[in-house]
Amino acid sequence: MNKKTKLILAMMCATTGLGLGTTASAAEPAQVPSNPQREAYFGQTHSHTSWSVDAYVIGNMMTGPEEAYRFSLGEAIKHPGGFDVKLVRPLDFQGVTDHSEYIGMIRLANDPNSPVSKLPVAEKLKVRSKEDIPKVFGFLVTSLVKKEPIKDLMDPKLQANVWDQVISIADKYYQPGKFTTFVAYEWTSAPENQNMHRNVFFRDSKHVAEIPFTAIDSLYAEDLWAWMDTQRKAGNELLAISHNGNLSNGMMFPTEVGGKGKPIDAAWAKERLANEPLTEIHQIKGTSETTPQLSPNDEFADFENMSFLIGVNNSTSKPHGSYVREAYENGLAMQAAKGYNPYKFGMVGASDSHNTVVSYTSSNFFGQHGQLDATPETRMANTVESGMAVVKTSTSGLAGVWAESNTREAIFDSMKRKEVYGTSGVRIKVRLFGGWDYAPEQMRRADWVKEAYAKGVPMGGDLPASDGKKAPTFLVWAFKDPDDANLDRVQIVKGWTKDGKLFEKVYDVAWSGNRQPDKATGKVPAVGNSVDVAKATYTNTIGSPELKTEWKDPDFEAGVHAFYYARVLQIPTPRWSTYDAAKLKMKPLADVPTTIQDRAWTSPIWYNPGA
Amino acid sequence: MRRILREPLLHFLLLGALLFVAYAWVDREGTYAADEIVVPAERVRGLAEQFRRTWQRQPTEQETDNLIQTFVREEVMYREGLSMGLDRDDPVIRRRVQQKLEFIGDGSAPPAPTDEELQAWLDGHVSLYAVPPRYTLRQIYFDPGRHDDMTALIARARAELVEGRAAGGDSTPLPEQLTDTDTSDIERVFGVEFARGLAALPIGSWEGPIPSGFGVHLVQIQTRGEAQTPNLADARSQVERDWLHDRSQKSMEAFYQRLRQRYTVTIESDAVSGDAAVAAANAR
Repeated sequence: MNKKTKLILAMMCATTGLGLGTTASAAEPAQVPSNPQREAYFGQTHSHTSWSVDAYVIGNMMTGPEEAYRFSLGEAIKHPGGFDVKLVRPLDFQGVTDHSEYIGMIRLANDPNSPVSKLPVAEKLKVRSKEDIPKVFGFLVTSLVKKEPIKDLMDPKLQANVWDQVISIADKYYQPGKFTTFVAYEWTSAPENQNMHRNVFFRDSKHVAEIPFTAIDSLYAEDLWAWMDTQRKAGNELLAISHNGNLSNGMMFPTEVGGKGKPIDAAWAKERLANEPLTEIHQIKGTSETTPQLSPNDEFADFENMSFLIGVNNSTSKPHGSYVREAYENGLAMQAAKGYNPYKFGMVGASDSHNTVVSYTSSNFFGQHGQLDATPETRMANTVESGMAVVKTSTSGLAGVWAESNTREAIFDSMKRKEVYGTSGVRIKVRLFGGWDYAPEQMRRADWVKEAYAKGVPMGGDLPASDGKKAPTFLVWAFKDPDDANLDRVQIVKGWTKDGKLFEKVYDVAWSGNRQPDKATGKVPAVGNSVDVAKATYTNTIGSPELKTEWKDPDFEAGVHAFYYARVLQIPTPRWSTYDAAKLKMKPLADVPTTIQDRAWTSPIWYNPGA
Repeated sequence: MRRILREPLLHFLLLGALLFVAYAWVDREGTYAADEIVVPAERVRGLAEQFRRTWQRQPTEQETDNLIQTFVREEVMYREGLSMGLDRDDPVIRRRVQQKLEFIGDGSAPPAPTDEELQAWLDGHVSLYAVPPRYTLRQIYFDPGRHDDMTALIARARAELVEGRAAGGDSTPLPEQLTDTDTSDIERVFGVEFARGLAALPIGSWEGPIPSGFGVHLVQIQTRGEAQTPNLADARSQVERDWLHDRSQKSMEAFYQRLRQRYTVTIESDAVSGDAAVAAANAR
């Protein structure tokens, strides 16, 4: 594609982010197409390979980060269960996040710059020609069998060489404009089985930590943040994404006391905000948005929820302090009462698959935990492993990012400014803008996105200061995954705080068909259900491919702190367990619903009266 | 075969010696008496170096002392655990040791490939590097959710298009005109079903309805570039990456086979039809 046609396409598609010009190669970074109105790119920020020792232990022994990237690029890759799996469409970006805790491995490299090559033993290990390969093996094998340790390899300088490989593999698969990789890892802290994990992402591969900070160094997020500050000072830009608040037993989003037992204060809030701009709203071990208990008026709150402590059978995780919506609300209350809000973070969806390969959709589901859930039979056997009920695990989520181009810089920066959203695995595109001065029928204009940026803020942003005389307008647009189900509705979830009390309301703002909202509640009736449970099929005879609207908050109060995020629901489709039941010709298990409404959640837009 | 290789007894035989070796590697202090813990200066230096790499500065005296005390604690617990046999038959420890050994084996990267080797690889994996067709096309979109009689609507629209008049499709953010766009980019926007539907269409005429996840489309393909196999010059970096990856997997297997040769495996179980399985296991 030449420059001119790319430009034309970029212009044509600029209104909604449906760009088509992505063919530049790594050798020509200047040709990476860029859209100032930004594109939605879909990627994975959390997955494990055989390089994570727990993945290896549960049977993922053959495939590493290279296979993870190849899978995301669309290649068929071996599942730990021994069969090939493949994505329907390739992803746009990924950072493989193996656990860092045992990464201090030994590498026998040929790299002349590696400290290995400076050791006396290196001469015996270098491969200069093909004939050397058996010699090196011979040396290693002899050494192993004679029980003679290679003492030189104990040098601490040699540790962390796996980290070097993580970096070099990320570089090998990075194709700017086509597929972006990140240097990343998981910090795996779980004090007393309470999940506090974070995935750490570096902006570029030339400015990364010498070695990763691990949970062996410290179990406290406060120490991770301090280390991240050190890294940033050294020029290594990075961010952390927390996950599984739902399994944290109330530890993920505390309001009184931080991880080290010290009271939460302005400095703590600042540290958290600076280092953790994002959390996972959905992943295989459950959704962390909210629960029916916390949000009794939200009839869609009961979505792929899980509550347990990892490693503990028959356990539950305390709801308060564990869920994202409540954290946003608590953040507002802290802002109003104390002047700081540690919980102005955005959302992505992610996986946590330990299989190298990742299953995103119910119709192409192949388990996420090695041999434990590799077949329909094992998945439907009602087993509980380490506290986790296999049948309740969910599809992998996806991160949607609004970025100018498919490059590390653009995607990292969108994550940093929280112009990102999460999905339960489907590739719904969703935009959300908020502003005070949008013209009526703004979205009918061909260049509405340009105007939306110019006169307001996208998801992840703060509404600018206002005279408080009128309510803000929100522009929301949702476009279905072309390879999945139609859309049921778009909702705006609003949370606010008054006199230290927390409030929330879910507004239906756009929906398919001619349904009329209930006069008393404003709620739109259910879209219907085309699922044939026994056959595990559905049709797109209900729902809509595209939903959009301009919404003004009818309950706006100028003096009240608030946040707004959009939630997009698909029409009901068979849950993965329903597909498995159909394959096995058995009845679906009673513990889980037969159909689900896959969805997307945007990062919020915040309103601060003082702003 | 795989089943036999996963047999715990075999792992035990194979890894028993390796455990000892690995232990000796990481634990030179182990050469002292059982009830004596000596922390040599090089260990202290190692702990301090680890700290420096993490925090980008030297540890203070207090921090060094903490590092040493943490190490001593680990050593005490580790030795006590070992003496109780807690390391034995532990699948996590066994797999961990296996994983470490595989990393070591994996490290012997092959030398840079020659052009001939890369060309041979490319020839043998043509489908991996095939460039899918590129399209220039126009499409008019119809949303079945907005109309009762789709058949009549589409027939009317087609007639208008054939006569060269503008046909009113439904409003959509999908682009009406695509210019020299590759199949994967079409899939990205229109989905795989639509892209598949383009493959057999004739050039020039208005065709359809072609289904997509959004509804149906009338499509006029203006040009279709044929799928191509790139030459080595174009695909070199990808081919080299894949070749190296393949080599490292093969060298890992060769490494295992060299180790495996040193063992005679006997399987005392009725679960497998003994003779054939053992013969296969020992054949290498």
